[in-house]
Amino acid sequence: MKINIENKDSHQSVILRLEGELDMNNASKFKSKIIKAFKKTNNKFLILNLKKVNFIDSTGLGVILGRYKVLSKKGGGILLVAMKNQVRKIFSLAGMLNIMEEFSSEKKALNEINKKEEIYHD
Amino acid sequence: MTNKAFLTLQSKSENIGLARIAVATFSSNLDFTLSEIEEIKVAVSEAVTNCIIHAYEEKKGEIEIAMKINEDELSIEIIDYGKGIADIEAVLQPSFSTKEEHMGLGLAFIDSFMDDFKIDSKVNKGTTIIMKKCPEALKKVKN
Repeated sequence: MKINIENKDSHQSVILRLEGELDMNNASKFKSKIIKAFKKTNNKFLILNLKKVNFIDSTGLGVILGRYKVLSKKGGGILLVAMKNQVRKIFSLAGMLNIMEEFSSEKKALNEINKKEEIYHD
Repeated sequence: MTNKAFLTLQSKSENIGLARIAVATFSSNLDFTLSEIEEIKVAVSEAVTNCIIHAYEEKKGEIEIAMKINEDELSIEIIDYGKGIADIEAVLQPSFSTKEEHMGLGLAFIDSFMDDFKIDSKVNKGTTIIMKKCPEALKKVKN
């Protein structure tokens, strides 16, 4: 599993781009990368780009839900981007699409945060 | 058609991906759609993860996977010799979990994605989960 992280302090966000399969084998690495990324900033939104994720199971979902709980306490949340059908099915079955919004691109997710936070740029 | 295959794995998280791929490859002998194969992979992942986390509590152990095809039906048995389940009814409740940050959805996913599943377990002897699935297209033809 590959993880790419980009801080978007202007949008109080961390963008995390995942590649590969998310199961018990890499769940701890995934979790510690997210925790580390948020430690450096005061950001409260996680934009999770899942475009290149081919597989996720309940262990992967558990980590994402755990982070959601932490971020929502700070008034933030998790925005999901570009899920494949089989990945969306797992999120949906777990009821996670009731609490997390899905977007087709990172740009649209950032726009949504703009709306939520009323951050305007020149 | 009939076919069978057997796989023994050490109880390590590195082997979960191997278990998924092996069962998915074996399953493709039947006319499953890609979406159905993905569902089988999730079910296998959940069952093998349960063996590692719950049966062997992340210690040493062996997991066996017995795969069978009998006519149109795929049957997968995932066997461990770990601590067993004292109360099977309890673990079948959605969101039942003994571990933090585990959602308790593993068996619910298996139930959703497979046509049938059953658990045989003896405390301190081990657990066998038996899962069955037929391709949806063939079910429609039969009905």
